[in-house]
Amino acid sequence: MSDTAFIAPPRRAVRLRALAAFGAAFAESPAALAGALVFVALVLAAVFAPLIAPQNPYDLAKLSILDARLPPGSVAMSGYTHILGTDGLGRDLFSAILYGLRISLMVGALSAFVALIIGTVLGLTAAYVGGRIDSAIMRLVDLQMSFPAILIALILLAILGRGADKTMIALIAVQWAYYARTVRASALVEREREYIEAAQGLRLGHVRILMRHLLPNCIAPLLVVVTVQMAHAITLEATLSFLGVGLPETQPSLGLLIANGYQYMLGGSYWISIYPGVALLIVMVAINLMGDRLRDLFNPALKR
Amino acid sequence: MLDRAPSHTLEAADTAFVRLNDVSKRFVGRISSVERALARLGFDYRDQVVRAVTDVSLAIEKGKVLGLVGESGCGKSTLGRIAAGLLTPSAGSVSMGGERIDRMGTRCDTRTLLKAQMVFQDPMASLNPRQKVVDIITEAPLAHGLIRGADRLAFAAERLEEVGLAADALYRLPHQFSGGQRQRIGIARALSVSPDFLVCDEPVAALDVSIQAQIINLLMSLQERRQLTILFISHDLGVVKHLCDRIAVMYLGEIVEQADAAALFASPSHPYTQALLNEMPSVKAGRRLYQPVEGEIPSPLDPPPGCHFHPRCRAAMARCSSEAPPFFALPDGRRARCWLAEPAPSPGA
Ligand SMILES: Nc1ncnc2c1ncn2[C@@H]1O[C@H](COP(=O)(O)OP(=O)(O)OP(=O)(O)O)[C@@H](O)[C@H]1O
Ligand code: SF4
Ligand SMILES: [Mg+2]
Repeated sequence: MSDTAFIAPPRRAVRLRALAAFGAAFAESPAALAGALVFVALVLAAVFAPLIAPQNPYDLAKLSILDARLPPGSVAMSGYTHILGTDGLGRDLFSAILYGLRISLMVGALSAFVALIIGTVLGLTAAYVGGRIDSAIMRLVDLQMSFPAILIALILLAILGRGADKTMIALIAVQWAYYARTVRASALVEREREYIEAAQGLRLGHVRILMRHLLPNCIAPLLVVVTVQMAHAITLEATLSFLGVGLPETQPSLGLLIANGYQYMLGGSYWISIYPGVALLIVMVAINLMGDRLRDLFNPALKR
Repeated sequence: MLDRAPSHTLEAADTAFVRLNDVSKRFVGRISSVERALARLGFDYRDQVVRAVTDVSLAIEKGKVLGLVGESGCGKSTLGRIAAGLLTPSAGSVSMGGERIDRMGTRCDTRTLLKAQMVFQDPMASLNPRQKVVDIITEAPLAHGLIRGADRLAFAAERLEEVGLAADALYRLPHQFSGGQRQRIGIARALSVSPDFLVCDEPVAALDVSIQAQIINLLMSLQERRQLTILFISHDLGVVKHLCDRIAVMYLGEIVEQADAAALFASPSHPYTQALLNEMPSVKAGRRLYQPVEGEIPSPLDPPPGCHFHPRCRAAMARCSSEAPPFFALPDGRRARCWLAEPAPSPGA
């Protein structure tokens, strides 16, 4: 009887195969593959910055003002070659960029992750519970989305003050709504499917139905939002730091490095601003290439 | 397939295991505040009320199968959900084994509620696409402490065997199965909490004709073995003919005729049942909207006055368009909602 004939492989292989198939589909776009490779390389460079960087840019005692504003390729007093030059304090720019990248990525990823959790919980709850709770959450989402992100972040930082933690709070505050809206949209569709009704008929708890049944079926579109929002968070953080309200001076992110170099721009020391800017640009392009590909994969109707 | 001997059951029987008493369900589509304001100014806006189910009373004796038939949109699924304790009725009550199951949530005992389970129409949509078969089957019994974690695999394999699937299905996902196999998994999931009452909402309507008989046979043998009480919903009289002890015919939210299966097929009393039966042989199983009887199905938003069936009824009389017929009891525990079934007035009166 065909009904009881089975020919599928055991469990682990199935999961690996699905992952491999997804990877293969992703890599069909050379641009996305390049973006992913660059992104992984950047993340590794950021994670292992203390091992790679020739100098610890936070150790002010090691800096010599005589080495300040050396152009790329100069040899310092110590005999070391600064391949990207030095900044206004005599810091090795390559090292500063690696450490700045580390901070930018960390702040971006962490705030995107926390916003993801907050937004997902609120979006799922809104869709599942409906009624007034849904309206309340969605009005908050509308409110948040009707103001430019930078404006909300500036207001929050003006109230909270400067600092890494405060910057992250501001970033989370301007991001959660995107996750909430995305999750709610897919949860509204999934909620109507009969497996949710079956779970209710089996008298499973609401939390279990939300987490085990609704959530796993709403995750795919979130992946796209995560990449887009992470890029968004990194840019926003750079902007805030550039404006002098974001991260503290002591541990400069890419945005702050650009800002610090800005004053030397007219004096001809272009590299102090340009190279951190280039690094930021590479990060953005890499993430966006991945995000575009993910969006195409999850939403074939939107393929361009 | 087995043919069943007719049983004589009356809706009022106190021995009934599952009882629906005067159950109604209305869905209200509320108008917005802007529309409400316009309505105050005299514009024609009002809340849309769908009367999906109106004053339905049903009784199913323990171990019996009641068939519920009717056209698309007549409220079968809504009634089935209410019977399974998944939907709260707007009015009326549902009880099973003497205990109320008509309120969702804490007011009813979970163990009791679990005794009523549902098998759904769409075998793909009714299984969580991200859950492995073993989890689909064991999640509820584990969550309710009906089985121990150590017995999980054995339990799941047993349930699979019971529905005719091999144990190597345990670690696979729903999309790796055919429609018939998925429906078997759905049945195994319903059985996982040892229900006494099963609501099957068109469980074969989405399946190929060749598979339909297999699933129906499976349900019949499970019913026999587990002494299940079943409410079997179908738009296809042919499907319920062999399976059911008793049949209720539904039209626009109301039951219009109830009778033992054999009696109903032998001599239908309501014109709507007659029309359904006349059309039966010509019906090809398909996934289209099922509308066997001539004429348009009226909207439950705005049901016709009098007998709801009068615009399509060949036997309609003058009074039919103004007076709604009540249920008239006929011999053999049969009931029909039609003026034709009215007992002749006694000569003395
Ligand atoms: N959640 C809901 N909200 C509003 N109206 C509903 C809802 N569920 C059902 N209805 C309406 O109630 C009526 C009965 O629907 P129901 O699904 O019970 O019919 P059905 O007999 O099962 O039809 P089908 O054969 O198509 O499954 C329909 O008019 C439908 O539009
Ligand atoms: S009451 Fe009249 S219209 Fe309604 S089914 Fe009977 S004969 Fe037809
Ligand atoms: Mg239905």
